Formats: sequence, structure tokens, C-alpha cells
Amino acid sequence: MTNEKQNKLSPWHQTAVAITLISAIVACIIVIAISISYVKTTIVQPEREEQLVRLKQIIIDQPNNQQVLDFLRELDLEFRKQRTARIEFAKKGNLLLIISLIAFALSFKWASAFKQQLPNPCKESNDLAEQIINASWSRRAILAGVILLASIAIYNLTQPDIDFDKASVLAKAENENKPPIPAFPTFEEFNDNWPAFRGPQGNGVSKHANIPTGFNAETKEGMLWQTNVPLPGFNSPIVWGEKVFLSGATETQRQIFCFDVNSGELLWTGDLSSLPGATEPPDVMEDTGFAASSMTTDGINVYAIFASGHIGAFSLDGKKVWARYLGIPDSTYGYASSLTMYQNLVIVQYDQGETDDELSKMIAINGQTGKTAWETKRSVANSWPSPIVVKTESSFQLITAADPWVISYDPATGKQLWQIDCLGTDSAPSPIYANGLAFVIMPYSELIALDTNGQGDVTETAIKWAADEGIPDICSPVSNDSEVFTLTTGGTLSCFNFSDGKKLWEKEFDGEFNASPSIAADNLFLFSIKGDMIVVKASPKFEEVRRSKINDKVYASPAFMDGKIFIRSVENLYCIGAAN
Amino acid sequence: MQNNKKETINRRRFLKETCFGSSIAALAGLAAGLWSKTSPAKTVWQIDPEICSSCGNCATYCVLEESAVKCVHAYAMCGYCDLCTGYLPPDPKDMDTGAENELCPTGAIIRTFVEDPYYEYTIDEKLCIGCAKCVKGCDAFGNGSLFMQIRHDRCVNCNECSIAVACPSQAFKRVPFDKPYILKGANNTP
Amino acid sequence: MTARNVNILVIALLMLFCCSALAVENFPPPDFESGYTLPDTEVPEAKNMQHEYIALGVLFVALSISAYLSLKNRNRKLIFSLMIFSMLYFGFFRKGCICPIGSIGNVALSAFSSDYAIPLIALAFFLLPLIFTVFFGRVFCSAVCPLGAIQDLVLLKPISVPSWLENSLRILAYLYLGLAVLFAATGASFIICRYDPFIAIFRLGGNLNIVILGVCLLLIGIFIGRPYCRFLCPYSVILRQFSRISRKKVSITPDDCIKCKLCEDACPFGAIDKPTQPWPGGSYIKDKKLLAMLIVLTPVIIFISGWLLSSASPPLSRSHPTVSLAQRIYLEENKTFTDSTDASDAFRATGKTINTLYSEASAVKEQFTLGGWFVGTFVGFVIAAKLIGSTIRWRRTEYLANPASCLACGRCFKYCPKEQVRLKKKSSGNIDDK
Repeated sequence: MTNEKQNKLSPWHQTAVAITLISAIVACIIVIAISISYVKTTIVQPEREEQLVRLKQIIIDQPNNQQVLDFLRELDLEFRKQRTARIEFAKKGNLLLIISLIAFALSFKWASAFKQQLPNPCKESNDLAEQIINASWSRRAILAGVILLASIAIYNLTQPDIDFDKASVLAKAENENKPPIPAFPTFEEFNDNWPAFRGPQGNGVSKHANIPTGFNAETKEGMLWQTNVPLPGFNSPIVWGEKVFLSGATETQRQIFCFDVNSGELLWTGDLSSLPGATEPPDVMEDTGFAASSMTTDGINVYAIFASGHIGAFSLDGKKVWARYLGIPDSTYGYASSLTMYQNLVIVQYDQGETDDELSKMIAINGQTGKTAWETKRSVANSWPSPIVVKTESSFQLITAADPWVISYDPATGKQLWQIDCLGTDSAPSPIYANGLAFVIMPYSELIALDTNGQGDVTETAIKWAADEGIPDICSPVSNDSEVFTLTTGGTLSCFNFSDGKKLWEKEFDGEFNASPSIAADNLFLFSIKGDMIVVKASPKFEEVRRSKINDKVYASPAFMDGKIFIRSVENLYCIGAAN
Repeated sequence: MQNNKKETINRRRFLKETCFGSSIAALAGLAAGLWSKTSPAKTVWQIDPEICSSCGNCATYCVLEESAVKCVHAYAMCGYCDLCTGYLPPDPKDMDTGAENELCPTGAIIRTFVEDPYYEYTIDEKLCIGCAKCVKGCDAFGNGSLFMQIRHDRCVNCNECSIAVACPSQAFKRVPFDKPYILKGANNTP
Repeated sequence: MTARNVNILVIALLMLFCCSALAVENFPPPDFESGYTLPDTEVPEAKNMQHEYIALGVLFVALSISAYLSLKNRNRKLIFSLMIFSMLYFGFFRKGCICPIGSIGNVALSAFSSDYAIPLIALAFFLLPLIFTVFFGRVFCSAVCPLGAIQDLVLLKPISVPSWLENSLRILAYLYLGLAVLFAATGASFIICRYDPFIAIFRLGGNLNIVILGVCLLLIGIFIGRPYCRFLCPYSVILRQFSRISRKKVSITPDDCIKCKLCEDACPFGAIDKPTQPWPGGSYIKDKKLLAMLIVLTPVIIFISGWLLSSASPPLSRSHPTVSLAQRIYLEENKTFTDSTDASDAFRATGKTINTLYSEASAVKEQFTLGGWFVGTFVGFVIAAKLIGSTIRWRRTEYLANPASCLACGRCFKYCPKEQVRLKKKSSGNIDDK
């Protein structure tokens, strides 16, 4: 007792007690501060973050709302400041808290050392009874613990479990029964749509028999809809299911448009304007423009390429999937070859420069990833025909026409199959394939029929026949398997016998023609730049069926679907067809 | 009696010696058994950027207040795009450094003009929280030159990395101490 | 049909090959005209290996000092100071990693996995305290372990735990050790490290749940001395066994025990064994019968325990990332979940087949079933041993520090009158010298 009193008076004891109290108070204050900061960060900060996301969305919808913009910027700054401040605070606060707590514990021990009580060895205890009780309690406690643990384990046993061995066997069986789902449409699905320039085979032939032969633009009879295309372009529309796609571009803008087949409503616009690439726009002729190349689709994505060398993919509902820059093409009139598809590969005929420049190449890009699947160099000069992927008797072939080579590739690997040296400069008409023969055009001079079964250089052997009268410079030929038709820019329509190239007839029309002729339901469809649609019988004898006219400028070859024709003028898209 | 006691003590001592000897032997055996499996250097944790799915867990699961995982830029792979999908959100209002046009929630990417039309992007590690938003953007449309790495000046090298536990793509690996980074495009540059 | 499939496969393979061969960037890096040079990607170096060797050296020195202090010098104040140093160095400065407790995981993983090489430092951290324990008792626990130190520091108002409760709660530590080895050996996780309760305090931040766990243990630790060490620490399970047979042991008295009872309540960890009373006749027969029964029952207990833990393998194995991923994928495939998680998306992006995943998961589950048998047998053996132990009366004639439980903290020294005599002699001897 006296000892204790003495200690109480000891200044060291008082110091220890004081330090204990002070450090306890400091620790409490820090704990409160940290708790407040924690609550703030877990409640206030996430709210702010959400608000920022909302504001950013508002800014996208209303880009000119300065008030929201200012508020957003202020909030963003505040948010960032708070975050940095909190991290700083947490670092210092936690350290201070630990220090004060250690100080508290040490000083408490120090203080209590002054009034430590002496042990009392004289207390009553029955050690023997205690030992026996301890032993029996010990057994009971162990038993209780074991029962508790065991019941947890037994409860787990009643829970359902997955047998992965069984699941693996099941999954295997299922896999064997199911053919693998290819990541691209079948050949038939391609044929049911109009997925590229001049249709699924690129030959300008529609499989549908119910294509209307005319319309009246004034009364709108036979015209389903007409809609404005926001950006100019000479490329042809493509159709997949219920959607029509085309692209448009100016020097600075590059866009893709998706229209509804039934209403003509613009569903979405895909933008590829602000991609990195060349600083200056490419040199193009006015007749070519910046968007002469037609798009293509595999029913999963749509793909577009522009004269600037930018190529991009959007999903059918308008999400950008990938975009690439292939380098500005060195092309005298401006790049114009259209894209085509083989399975999931987007085929780009990238011909540029002169024959010796070694700049030209074929590129196949994986549609889903945007990565190059294969690339093949070719010794040709800049050319403007579009490549076609066709199914010959034995295999698929990718046939390309250029100056001076006509080359066929295996579309899966890019391996060269055969090549023929038969073309010259300024190649523009695209090749077609019909009934075992490929047809290519040397502008103004020759229509050439080629056998497609060769290997290697077949210049000497593959040419079946050549015709030299009424040969176009821009429009591609079209064939119904028994005749081949050509249309010159000046308006001369010629008909050649399929088997020997003998000219059967020719007919002159007024006006200028850039759109290639097409065949649907045994009729030839011709579109003049001035907007005339001329329908004649595709037969060994000339017979005009009907003439219609839109007051617009038509350069692009139309797209044909079930009962519908899609005509793209520079600024508009028309849908011809009978209303139900 | 005396003898008996002595015997007991002897037996106890013998038992004790045996236990002692056997435990020493056990420890030596364990050490010898594991000796062939030891690596002289320590290992550190690192993210394999090819596996990383930029989920954003790195920002929240690190034991440190500020995650030791930061975004890293492989400049040699960068396209220096004006429209950088790692820097700008989808459909940006403008292509500038306004708060509304930054994908990074902390503004940790610095965009500097190099020459028309190229911009350099650098990461301010003090601000980066490792949320991987920019990595996701860059991977989706760009060259994938932005990627996540554990910064070893910050990492405390936990015996079991708590982000590794939470990593959905299991991209965390133990790598040797002398090669502590898995850089993208590193094999492209000499 | 099959021919077509093969064709598609060939094409796909070819394309894959071409893809990898041609991996071209979407936007080729530009050729700069303004003389701009590409900056290097900064790679700050990891903390030097020297730090690790220094830590190992500090561990060795600290263990040696601790052994000297508790066996020779018998000075609680110095032991306490060393303990505070260890807490600051191994805990706060080295952020708690690597520690001998956590290294159990590394040792188990490297023993069972072929593709994990244990760092030398981790192995050294695991072995060094064990070697010291074999010679000097639990000198690691007393003043070197940072986890022990922080609990010892907060022990302000000790209350004693009945020995039967202490004895049975300790089974948790054995179970924890068994599970920790199982989880580490199967590559699921290092649960000791993941649920290290004080790591968040040493790092001044971390997972909120762990912070709460640590704070709760420390609050309990104000009254109940070192709760983690006594009831949970898996490393203590190993240390206890080595400490039983250690060469040197901490003794309460520097001389012979005079059974003065003064030290009876001195130990806050319940590690002082009292002298035993002679056995009362009736109880003796009863206990011997019980003992016989328990010995007969031991194989049964061991088997049941083994069976229970091995059949608990499905929920246990779900902590393994492969199994939990396989489970998620399975449920998604069977349309139980219609959405996907980051993990299942990441798995699908790898292009690995589901069957491969399933068979991997199945293999891991088998490991857990087998491991469950081992762990269960081990725990069953411990339970049986504890039950048997409760029926046996060790004869003790003096107050002794229980060799297994004694943490060598030195609290009891000053309670012994003989120690006081020794200290006086020492100081007076010193005076005499002068």
C-alpha cells in the first residue's frame, strides 16, 4: 500500500500515465479522421465518378453545351485533387496512427509496471480436483469441436458437385455430333445476298426472277423509297439481309452509311475520318472521287476502303471493329478497286505505281481481327478493276485483272495459280467468270475469253477467243452463259456469242454510261449517267423492254435483291420495287 | 530402486537423444530434398501482357494504397495516332486534352505534339492507378503499345500477390529477379 | 463432310500461321521527320538481392541474441527491446515478407510441384528458426517473429484461459497447417499469406477484411495473450514439436525449484505446468479404462477424420483457380448463368478447349481428394493424441515451463525468488569487483 502511494507520487509514473492518455487521445482522433476519410472515399468518390461518366455522355449528345462542359471540367479536377489528397492523407494518417498506438501500448506497460501487484501464493486451490476437471473438460471440448467440424464437412457432402470427367465426356460427345460452326457465312448465304460490287460472284448477275423492269419517277410508281446519302461517292451499294451499305468520302471525311432495306432510313453512320495516316489527301480525278471502291460484307462485319488507303470494319449494327491504314496508294486516277470477300477474308487488290515499282500487292485481311492473313506481291502497274472470287469446277479462285497480267490466286493462301499477260495500261473493267470461262477487257481494244484451268504462265494456251469491236474502257462485261454483253461509255451495247466471240448484234444508245450492265431475269439493265434505266432482253436478238428515268446522276452499278433494285446516284439512294 | 531409477533416466535420455537426432536428420533431409529445387535468386511477380485481359482488377486488389501495377508504353510499337483510342474515349467530342476527351480517370496520360499529325503519349506514373482503361482502348483499335506491368520500385513482392489471386486471366507469373519485366515489342528492338 | 472439316481445319491452321508470321501493326509506327527519337520504356529495378541477404543475416543475429537473452542473460527488458526491433524491422520495414510462417507455403509448393523453384531465401527463412528451436527452444517466437511481437506489445491486461480450452482450441492450428500445406501443394493458394492477420497493419493498408481481422485479433490480444500464436499459427505447430526435444530449455528458475508458487500466475500464455498430485485410486482405474478404449478407437478416429476431409474436397478444390473457372464455364455452358465473368471471357479468348479445362480441373480435384486423406489423417491423429493425453498423468515435482508452449518471453523470470537472489549476487559481485 505504501509502496503504491510512493509510486503514485513518482514523477516517472505520472509521465507514463500522461503519455498513455495523450497517445490514446491522439490515436482516437486519427481513427475518427481516417474513418471520415474512408467513408468519403467509399461513398462520395464513386458517386462523383458516376456523375462524371454521365456528364461525359451528355457532352457527346450535346457537344455545344458550354455550361455542362465547364461543370464537367471543374468536377473532374476536383475529383482528381480529392484522390491525390486522400492517398497522401491515408499514407500519413496510417503511419501516425500506428506510431501513436505503439506509444500508447509502451507507455501503458510502463505505467502499469509501477503498480504491479505481488503474486499471492497463499490462495486456496485444489490442484488435484482442478487437474481431473481439466482433463475431462478437455475431452468434452475436443469432442464438441470435432462434432462441429464434422457437421460442417457433412453439410458440404450434401452440396451438389460437378463431375468434370463426366462433363468432359458429354462435351466431347456433343462436339462430335455437331459440325463446327464456321466463323463466316456459307457460299449459299453469300449468294442469297449482294455482298460486294456486282453481286456475290462479282459478275453483275442476279439470281432473282422478280426484278422490276421499270418505274415512274414522277408518280413514284414502282419506287419504294429514296433517301439522301450524306457524303458523295461513286461506289455501289451492297446488301446483307435487311441492310444496305455504302460509303462516302470527301478530302477530309470518310464515312460508312447503313440504310434500312424497307424504309430507306439511315440506321447508322460509321466514321473513319480521324484515323492516322497521310497528312495530305490523295490525288484523285473528279470522276473517281475519294470513295470509288465498293464495300463488302461477310454478314458479321462490313468493310470499306477509301482512296486514302484507310480500311475499316464495322459490325452490322455500327460498332467499329478495327481500322487500318495501308499507306496512300500511288494511283494515277485515284484508287478505285472494290473489296471482295472469301469466307472470312477481306480481299484487297492494292495495285499502284508502275510495273517495275514492285508496289502492287494482294492483301487478305482477317475480317474479325483486322490482321493480315496473307499478302502477295505482284508485278503490275496501277489498275482499277475489282477482284472477283469465283467457284470454278474444281476450286475457288480469286481472279484479278491488271496491267499487264491477269492473275488467279488461291483465295485461302494467296498462292498464285495461273497468270496471263494480255492487258495494257489504264485497265479499268473488272473480270467476270461465267460457265467455265473468265472474261477480261483491254480498254478500247479487246474482249478476251480465258480458260481458268491452267497452271503457271498460260499466256500461250488459255486464250479461247478475243473480240475487238465495241470494246468499253470503263464498264465491265456481263454474261448469261450463252452470250456476253459489253457496253461502251459512248453507249454502244454489243452482244457476242459465248462460245466463239462472234458478234451477234450491236445497238447504240444516247448518253454516257459508267455503270456496268447487269443481268436479272433474262433482262439486261443499263444505267446512263443522266439517269436513264434501259432494260433490253439478254438474248441473241436485240429487243428493248422498257425505259425509265430518274433525274439524277448515276455512276454506280446497282444492287439487286429479291424484287428490288438499289440505285445509287452521287447524292441519293433509290429503291425500285413493287409495293406489297 | 536406485538402479531402477537410473535405468529410467537412462532410457529417457536415450529417447530424448533419439528424438533430437531424428529431428536434426529430418531438417537436414528436408533441406537436402529441396536443395535441387531451390533457385539462388528470388522471384518477383510480373504480368504477361499477352495474357492480360485489362480487366481493371490491378487498380483495386493490390495491397498497396496506390497499386504497384502501372500502365507502360512500348514507344516502338506506338502509331503516334492523333485519334488515340487509348487516350480518347470512343466518339470523342474533340481530339484535345479537355477533361471530357480523356479516357484516363486520373489524367495520367500526357499527350504531346511531335509533328503533324503525330502525338506522343507518356504515362505519368505518379497519377496512374492501373485501371487499364487505356490498355483496353489501345488493344481494341490501336497497336496494343500500352500494357500493364508491375513496377518493382513500388511492389513489395508479397509471397502471394493478391492481384494474382484476383486475376481473371491468370496473367501473373513469378519471374526471375534479374528479368523482372515482360515488355511488349521488346524482341523487336535490339 | 469430314473431308470438308479437314479442309477448314487446314485453312484455319494456314491462316493462323500466316497471322503469326505477318503480325503487322494496325497503324505502322511513323517515320519522323523532325528528328524525334523514341523514348525508352522505363523499367525501375526491383529491390536489390542484397536486401534479402541482409534480412537473412538480421534473422540469424536476432535469433542468436534472442537465445542468449532468454537462456543466459535472462533479461525480459532486453528481450522486449529485441522484440520491438524485430517488429519494426521484419514487420514495418520489410513489410512482413518473407516470413518463416508464410514460407511453409513455398516449401509445400516446391515439394509437390515440379515447376516451382523455391527461392533460397524462402527456404532459409523456413529452416533457420527450426534449427534454433531444436537447440534453444522457441526463441524465434519470443523476440524475432513480428507477428508475435505486435501481439505481445498489445497484451495489456492478461487474463488466463483454462487449460482445457487452450488445449482444444490448439487443434485449429493443426487443421490450419494441414489445410495450408494442402492448398499450397495443389497450387491453389498460399492461405497463410492471404489470411495473415497483421500484414495489413505492417503495410499500413490493404484489404479491408484483413485489416478488420487483424484489429479484432489485436483487441482480443489485449486480454488473451498472443491469440494467433497459440491457437492459429501453423508454424507454431512445427515449432512446438521441435521445442519439446530442444537441447536447451527456458527454465523459470535459475536454480532448483522451491515450489514457492510465486510464479504460478506469471505466464499469460498458460505455459507453466504445476507439480502434479499423486493419483487418487478410483480415478486411476477409470482413466486407464478410458485410455484403453481410446487406443482402440484411435484408428477409427483417424479414418473418419481422413474420410471427412477427403470428401470435403469439392468445396475445398473450388479455391483453386482452375477448378473455379471450370465450374463457372460448366454452369455457363449449361445455361445456369447467362452472363459471363471476366475470367470466363478471358478463358474463351485463349482458345483452349473446354475439355482440356475440365480434365485439368478433374486432376486438381483428385489431388484434393488424395491430399484430403493425408490432412484428415494428420488431424485425426492429433485429435486422438490429445484425447489420449488427457487420460495420462505426467508426473511433475516442480514448476516447469511447458517445453512446447513456452514462448521464451522471459516474463516469469523475475517472479522466482531464486532469480532475485541471482540478480542480487550478480550486482553485488559487480560491486565487489569494483
